[in-house]
Amino acid sequence: MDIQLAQIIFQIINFGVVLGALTYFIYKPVLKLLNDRRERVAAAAAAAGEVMQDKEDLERLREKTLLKASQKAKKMENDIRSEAQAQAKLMLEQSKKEIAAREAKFSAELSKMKKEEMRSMEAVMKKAALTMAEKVIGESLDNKKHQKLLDEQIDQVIKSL
Amino acid sequence: MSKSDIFANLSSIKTADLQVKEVSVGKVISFADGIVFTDQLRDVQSGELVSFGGEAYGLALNLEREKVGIIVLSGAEQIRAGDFVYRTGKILSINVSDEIVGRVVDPMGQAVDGKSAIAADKEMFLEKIAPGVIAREGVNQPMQTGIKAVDALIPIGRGQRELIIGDRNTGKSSVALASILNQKGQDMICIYVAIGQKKSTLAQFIQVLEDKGAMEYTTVVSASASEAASLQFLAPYSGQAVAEYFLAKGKDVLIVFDDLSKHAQAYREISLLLKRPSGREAYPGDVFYLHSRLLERACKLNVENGGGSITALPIIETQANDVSAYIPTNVISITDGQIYLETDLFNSGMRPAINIGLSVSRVGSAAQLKAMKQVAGSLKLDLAQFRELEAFAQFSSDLDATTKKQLERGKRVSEILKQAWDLQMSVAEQVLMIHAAVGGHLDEVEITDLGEWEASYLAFAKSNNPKLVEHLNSGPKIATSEEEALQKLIKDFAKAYPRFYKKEA
Amino acid sequence: MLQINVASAVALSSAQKNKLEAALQKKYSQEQVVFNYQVKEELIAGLSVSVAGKLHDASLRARLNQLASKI
Repeated sequence: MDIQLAQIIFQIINFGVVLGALTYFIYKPVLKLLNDRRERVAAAAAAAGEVMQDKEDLERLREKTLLKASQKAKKMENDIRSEAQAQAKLMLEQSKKEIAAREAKFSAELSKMKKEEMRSMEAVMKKAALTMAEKVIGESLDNKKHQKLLDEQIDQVIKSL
Repeated sequence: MSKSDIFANLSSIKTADLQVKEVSVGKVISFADGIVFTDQLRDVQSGELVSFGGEAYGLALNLEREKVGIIVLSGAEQIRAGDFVYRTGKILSINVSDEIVGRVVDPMGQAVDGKSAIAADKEMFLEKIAPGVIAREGVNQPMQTGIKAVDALIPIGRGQRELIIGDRNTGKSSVALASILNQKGQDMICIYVAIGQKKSTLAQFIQVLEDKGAMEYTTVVSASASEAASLQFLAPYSGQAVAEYFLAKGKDVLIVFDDLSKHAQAYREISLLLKRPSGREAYPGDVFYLHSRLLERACKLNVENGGGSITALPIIETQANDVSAYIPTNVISITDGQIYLETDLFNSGMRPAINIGLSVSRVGSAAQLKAMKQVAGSLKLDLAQFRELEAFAQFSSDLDATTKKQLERGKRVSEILKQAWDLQMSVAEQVLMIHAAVGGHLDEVEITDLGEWEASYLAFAKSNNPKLVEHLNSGPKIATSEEEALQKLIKDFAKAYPRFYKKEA
Repeated sequence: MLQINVASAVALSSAQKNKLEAALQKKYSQEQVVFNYQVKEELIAGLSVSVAGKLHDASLRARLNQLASKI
């Protein structure tokens, strides 16, 4: 074996250089890469954890808001319902009043019409009575009765002079 | 009325005392043109109702030695020469009750609107002596017509007589109609006396009153052109009798006579046919007394006598703007002021066509609400200055800045006085508008936009500051706080509606 | 000269006429009276006398009219 010291030393130096180069150019970056990766993963996990936390908060908030909204809606529904009822009652009363007023007006008009009818009927009756009297008396008088009447009336006229 | 009442009346036949009495009669000598001359009838009273038998009635007016002149009121077709004429002993009167409000009646009190007969509560004499001086009180309450020009510059009070005078087609009846429409809710009873008008015009008038809900407080007394001159002659007195029924109850009444020119013509016709001597323009000698005794019955009574009032708005039609003719001068001297309407103003678009210079109200601001008095003072001044400068308006490019400004202000002030006949403005609305105009807040607005400006501003004011509007309506003086509020209101409006204001160049 | 109009439903007999004329002559003694007799059927029965603007109506027609106005 012809191992020459120079070659061994050269090989050792070569190996050392290669090792140094590897360490410097590969080992360290790779380690750094791995560390970075680890950090990134950890950060991501932390972020995910935060997001989960946020999500939970939001969920809670959502539930709370929903509850509040449903309460408000219920309250509004009640309010509207009670107001609608009140309105309906008011309208009913108003229409009742209106109907009563209209009834009163109608009955007043009716009684007025009745009075009118009575008045015209009275007039017709008067006229009828007079015509009847005229006819009956006119036909029942004969000459003797006429003369008797005339005698009476002449006395009356002379008295009134 | 029950059946028993009718028969109770009939049983009075048994107790009737029929004796031969001596009655005063005359015989118809002549009957022509609605005038009957009779002989005898020696003891008839002047103005007494006489009967021709049946439903024919007349009014004895001319009492002479040999004959009596009677104007026929109804039943003319039943009268024959030689008929007897009987005295009734009654002075002419009309039956009035509360039912007459909302109805159309003729001068004898008969309903002519086709509805039921009017119940009778009291007999009011057509001819009555006017209330004496002691019973009266000064006019102190306003009668709002709802027309800006009238309420601001020619204010009418309750109990005043204000003449509306102008040529035909100048809007006289519209001023009266607007006044009636504005009395809604003012606790006033309105009476419209139509003398010698066309039935079609009257029908339209009544339709408008009904549509606007004014018939609830209005009575119409109608003697249209085809009625006998005797009924046209009596119509104003019938209207006045109805007004006095409500006056006696302490109410406020507004009565419109449309128009007294035709009334004077009807009286002239009757007088000439009664062979009375004629005077100027063929009118009889007592045509002044005809109108003075009618208008003197419009008055304001003091509290001891009920506190009611009758406000009269007589209307006179002039020919060719001649206010110095006989009848117009008569009535002008009787009334407490006139509203003078001109054709030129009407045709140039100024409606109501009121000539502010010649119109006057002798009661004036005694009957005006304080708020209105405040803003109206400046209004009068602006208008007077504008009138002076109007002649130079054609040369407005050659005038100095102050004159131009006054002209512009005057034009806008005149423009806001224009008003549609069917637009009634409350006191607050009028005060708001006039305040805006005299304060110079309209100087930026185009004249053609003023109508729109008015409508928008009033709506804005009512929604923004309803308390202020209500306060103005009750009329007390505008204090500094309210003045500030008004200024603020206008500024807010200008901000909210910039489209009205001229863009600064 | 005073004209007295007498209207009746049927013609008056001479005795009746004389009675009437005598009474009327007595009332209007200072004037000369002229009598004018008419027959008017619408009076139904009786008579009516009108003189110098005064009417004395005793006929049935007038009484019926009076009744009508009473009720």
